[in-house]
Amino acid sequence: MKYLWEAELRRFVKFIKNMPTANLPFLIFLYILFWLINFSSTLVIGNVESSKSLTAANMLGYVIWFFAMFSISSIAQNMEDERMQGTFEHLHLSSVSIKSIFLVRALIHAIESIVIIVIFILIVGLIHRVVVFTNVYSLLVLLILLPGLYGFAFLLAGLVLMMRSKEAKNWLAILIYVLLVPLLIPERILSPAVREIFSYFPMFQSVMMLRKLNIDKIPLNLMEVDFVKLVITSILFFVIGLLIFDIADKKAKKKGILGMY
Amino acid sequence: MDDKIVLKAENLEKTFGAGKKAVKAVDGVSFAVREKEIFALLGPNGAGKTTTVKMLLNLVSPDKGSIQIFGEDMPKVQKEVMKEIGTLLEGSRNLYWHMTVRENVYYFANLRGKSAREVKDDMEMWAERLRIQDKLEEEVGKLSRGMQQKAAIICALATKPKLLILDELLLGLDIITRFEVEKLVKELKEISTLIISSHDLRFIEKVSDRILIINKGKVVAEGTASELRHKISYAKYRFTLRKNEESRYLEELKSIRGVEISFYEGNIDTDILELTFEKPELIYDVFDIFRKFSVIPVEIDNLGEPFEEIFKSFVEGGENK
Repeated sequence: MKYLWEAELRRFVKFIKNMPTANLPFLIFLYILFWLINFSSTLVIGNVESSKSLTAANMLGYVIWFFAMFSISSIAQNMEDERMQGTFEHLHLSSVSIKSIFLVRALIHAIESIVIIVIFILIVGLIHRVVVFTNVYSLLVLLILLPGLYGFAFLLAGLVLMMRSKEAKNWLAILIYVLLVPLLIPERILSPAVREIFSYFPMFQSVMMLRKLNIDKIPLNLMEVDFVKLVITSILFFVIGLLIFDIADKKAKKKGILGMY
Repeated sequence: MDDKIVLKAENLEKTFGAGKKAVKAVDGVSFAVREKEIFALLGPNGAGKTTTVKMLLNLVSPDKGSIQIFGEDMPKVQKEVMKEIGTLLEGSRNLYWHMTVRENVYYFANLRGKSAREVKDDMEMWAERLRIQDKLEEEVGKLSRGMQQKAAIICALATKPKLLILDELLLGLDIITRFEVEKLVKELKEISTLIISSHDLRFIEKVSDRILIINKGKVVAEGTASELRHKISYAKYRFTLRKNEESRYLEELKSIRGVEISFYEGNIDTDILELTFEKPELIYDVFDIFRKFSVIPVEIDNLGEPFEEIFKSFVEGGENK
């Protein structure tokens, strides 16, 4: 474990050196997608009292959606890419567990995602004249969400590991996009029952909490139940994700499909 | 030779698929590898070599059987044991193509619990040996297939592993590098135990201390190259004989059970004769006949059999020949 950070940081530095040219188109893509979501939600909800608070609410959902996609990319997608190339088997020949390698990778890539999202928030803030994060406790919510996000990514990585068919994997990817769409919908249009169900998923719960903190200006100490729910579900997702990944890894070894090159 | 066992595999079995589509890839394979020996796995395509290697490294779980490395049960202690093992896998990418050779060596060394500083000197030494020192700062994806293989070999060696598992290490190497690798493998024996697999029979015969031949998932033979030669091939000699009279000795030679005349060329004063012996000691009976008929062997060549033929005999079930 001692040199794992050294190894992954070196790999990340190499990766980031090739990134500057790719980041600009990525930021433009992010903004166009956000603009489309924002525009669609205005059409769905209609003329709201404050379009700025709607933009802020959309932006908060978008930030969590972005983090979720980034976590999936740095764990599940990254694992599948390595599996197809043949390097995934070599990672198994390490003196550290495969989970540790991908977790450290995800944490290091989180730095990259934070840099991108901060730049993006500044751009959106300037264009739409909105301040998205007004409450410092938002950072705490994001931090608590992290294990849940990684757990979700490991869960997906486990499912992908057990699949041989490329078609099945494509369908899974589509399903994930669909499942994460509610993050982009302002929860006020959802029924209380649906909202209650969503609150047991850390991604949705964190979006709802961030909106309460930053838009409705409700202090964190008045959201004790929400907070506890977020902590518990986030840890639970993390544990379940790792367990499923472990089971999948063992099954893949049994079937001899760790490498699919 | 030191008899300390480094790796022991017992009764390994592996079946892929189920029902009618089930394929038994490995069927009751057992072997032990001693310290500082070069142990070769040999077999035709689909024989079960790579599955066996992957089971040793816990990349494929065996259905049955057990594996011990350095006296410890696998896969229980895999993470600890992997610090002492260097690997090269056939067919897969052993390295990251977007990283340089140096970055790859440091990366995989780090994952095996070694710092970049610890492996730097060894990496540079092996790079020089394999004449790739000027490629250390180049991205692996931009190198030729042979250079990539060399870089992967350096990656496997740089951590000073006690056990090296090298699957198809000659893949993509040119003739000159093959000879260098051959020399290198023999030298590595001084510092490490090696398990190698290759399709190159000449290479295997030259470098291996012991060879395990696998076919259709089963062990068909095990031993040193010369032991395998003895098991499968009859002794075969070519005699150039000086004679004084007609070749009457031939009739008597034909009467010896277990000796076969496989070639004969008669001239006025010399005969050329190739004899195959079921047992090497039958050569004394032949010499008795030569003496009796005053035939003088002026030249004797041991013909043996090429290792390819021996391998073929085992694979085609020739062990009971």
